[in-house]
Amino acid sequence: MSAPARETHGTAWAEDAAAFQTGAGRRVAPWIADFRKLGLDGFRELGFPAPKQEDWRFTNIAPIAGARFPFAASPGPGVSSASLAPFLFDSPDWTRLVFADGHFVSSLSSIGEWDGADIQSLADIMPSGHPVAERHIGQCVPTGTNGFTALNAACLNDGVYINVGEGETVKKPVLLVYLAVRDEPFAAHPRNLIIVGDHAQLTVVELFVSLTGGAHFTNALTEISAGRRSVVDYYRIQQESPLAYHVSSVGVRQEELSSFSSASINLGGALTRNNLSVELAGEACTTVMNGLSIVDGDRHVDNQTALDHASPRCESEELYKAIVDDRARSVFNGKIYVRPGAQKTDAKQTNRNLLLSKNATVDTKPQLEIFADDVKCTHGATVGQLDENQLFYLRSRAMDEQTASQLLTYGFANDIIERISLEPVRAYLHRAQSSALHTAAAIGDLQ
Amino acid sequence: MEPILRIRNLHAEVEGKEILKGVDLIVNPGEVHAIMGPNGSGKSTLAQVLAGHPAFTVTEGSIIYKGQDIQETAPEDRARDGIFLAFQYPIEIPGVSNSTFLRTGLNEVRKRRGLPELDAFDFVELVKQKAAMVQMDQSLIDRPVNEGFSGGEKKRNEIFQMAMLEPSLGILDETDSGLDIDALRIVSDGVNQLRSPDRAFVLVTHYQRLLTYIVPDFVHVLFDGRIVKSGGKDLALHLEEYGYDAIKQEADAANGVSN
Ligand SMILES: Nc1ncnc2c1ncn2[C@@H]1O[C@H](COP(=O)(O)OP(=O)(O)OP(=O)(O)O)[C@@H](O)[C@H]1O
Ligand SMILES: [Mg+2]
Repeated sequence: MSAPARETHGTAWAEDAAAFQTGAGRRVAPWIADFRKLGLDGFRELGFPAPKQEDWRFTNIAPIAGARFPFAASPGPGVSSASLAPFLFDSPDWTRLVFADGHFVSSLSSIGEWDGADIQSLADIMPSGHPVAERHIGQCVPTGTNGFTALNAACLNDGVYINVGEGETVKKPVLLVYLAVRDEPFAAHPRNLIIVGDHAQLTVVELFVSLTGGAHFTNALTEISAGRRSVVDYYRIQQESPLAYHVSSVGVRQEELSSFSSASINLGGALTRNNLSVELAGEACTTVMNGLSIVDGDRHVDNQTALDHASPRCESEELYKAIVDDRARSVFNGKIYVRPGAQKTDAKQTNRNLLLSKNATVDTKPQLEIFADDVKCTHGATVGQLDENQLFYLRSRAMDEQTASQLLTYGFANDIIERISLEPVRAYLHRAQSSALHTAAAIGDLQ
Repeated sequence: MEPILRIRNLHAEVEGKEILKGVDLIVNPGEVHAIMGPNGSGKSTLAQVLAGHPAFTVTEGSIIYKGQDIQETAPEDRARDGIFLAFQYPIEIPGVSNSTFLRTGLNEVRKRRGLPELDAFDFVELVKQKAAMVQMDQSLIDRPVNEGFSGGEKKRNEIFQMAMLEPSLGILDETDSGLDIDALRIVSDGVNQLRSPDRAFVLVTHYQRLLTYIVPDFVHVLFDGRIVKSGGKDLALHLEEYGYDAIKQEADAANGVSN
């Protein structure tokens, strides 16, 4: 067998990660050092995913593998509360943790009094032993899943640790803002470890934004462990620069009767790849997975979801939508496994794509593997242009063709946004999607 | 007096298939015309052609609205000039609230009429007033257009929109189908309130019942793409009793079809 191509193998990335591990500024406890080493060994073995791997067939990550994004040793210059202001959802009272170029910035963050949860930057818990974090890290997203998850572990530097106590309800949403600040190319590998106890409730909003239009690489990873009867709402908004590379790996494990609801909104990035996997480990869980991507130019977005119905009587509903313009490409792959014994599973998956240009591309693939007999699983995928009858309906109500098209396109996306229960997030996304779609202000203002 | 609508020898086709085969109709201000006819005879086609649906091609004849030939007029301009079509099957628009939809359209219509845009406050007031007219639940205003509406709610929403846009010519395509008895009365009351000497209505219906609430000046029977019989409101009663058989035979005889 021939050796993998150099850029796929990521030798230079491994060297950088090794240099980071030996040179990293702050001292870390042995469990962190061991975890990083596990990541580096994994990455050396796995390299970056190759296009011949089934799950990476449509997304060529050579531009990442072949580039060199150095680790940013400190937050970039000039980040201030003024630059942060547009990204706070007009909700200054929310708990927030702000990261600049991958580093926690405590002066911009606001972690209030104990509100039912232990919330800290991951860097803050790294200098000493931490049995809970140690037990959970790498559980929901195994380090050896692929080269990106291994690299994230190898470069473990910062992120968020949230532990919601049993029966606690964290009343205000926890907002995590990841700012790309510096102009020069850099890589950040934020990692979040979220543990929600039995009967506990938590809402987390992750927001990724670039303050400049430069190229950078985000390799984010979030692990969420949802205890029995817990309720977790998880929103993820990616608005990085049109030159940014963004890879995310989110893993969720749900215990009995828990409810997990997510929305993944992708408005930025040159190349975006999101992996979301949810394991329904306990019985009678509910899972909602919504997604919206808006891509134009030569941009590329790839959403891979995997839902593991490992227990009986769980319900899942998944709706991913994409609006694809110019020469952009959107990929969707939705896996649903129904394990033997997972009877009374009720799974529904829908993927809808709106093509605004004849040069835009969509690849959509449902992948259902069902090993139980008493289950209800439905899936559907559509790829199409604006509907002629809808257009006519709007025009018959006095809207010109362009306004009608814009309103329909807006509505196509808004359908996902309206499913978000947090009003400030909806308001923020109404504005964000208007600008992503270049919608006339008159339409955006009406919402 | 200038008719609001004058249709002459109108032929229209869709996907190469001729549906309208020479329709003639004159509608004067203040009048209500009912169009009846068997399934598939072309009633909705006529309604959609009047509203300007691009899927239909007019191959012959003319549509004169307020003295202007509107064949080349875009649907939105027809709407701004006062033509309103209440759809037989109202369309669902996910993600767009009923109020956004209506406010955008209403402001276009107002612009054409030389009126200023309504601000949010005045819009809400107008919505309240018009929704009350058709007893439409306020909660439907903030929901996505027609999505998840019951059949009756969709029809009511059409009449509500018509009340908001105050057209000169209201074309109601089977608005009565799917309405319960109370809703039929309420919707009819709404239409009757909109009746005025300078406004006209064309009602497509299968049922005489609607015409006891909204009493028409004329009743026409559309059969195989032509109006084959016209009369007063009694014609509807006659049809209710005897069906279309006699008319079909007359029409076939006139066309030289034997059976
Ligand atoms: N878009 C289309 N493509 C092909 N055929 C069409 C289309 N629209 C209408 N037709 C055909 O034109 C004919 C007339 O249809 P239309 O909807 O006008 O009938 P209608 O009189 O309104 O019937 P109903 O009473 O059932 O509503 C039918 O045979 C129908 O199948
Ligand atoms: Mg019809």
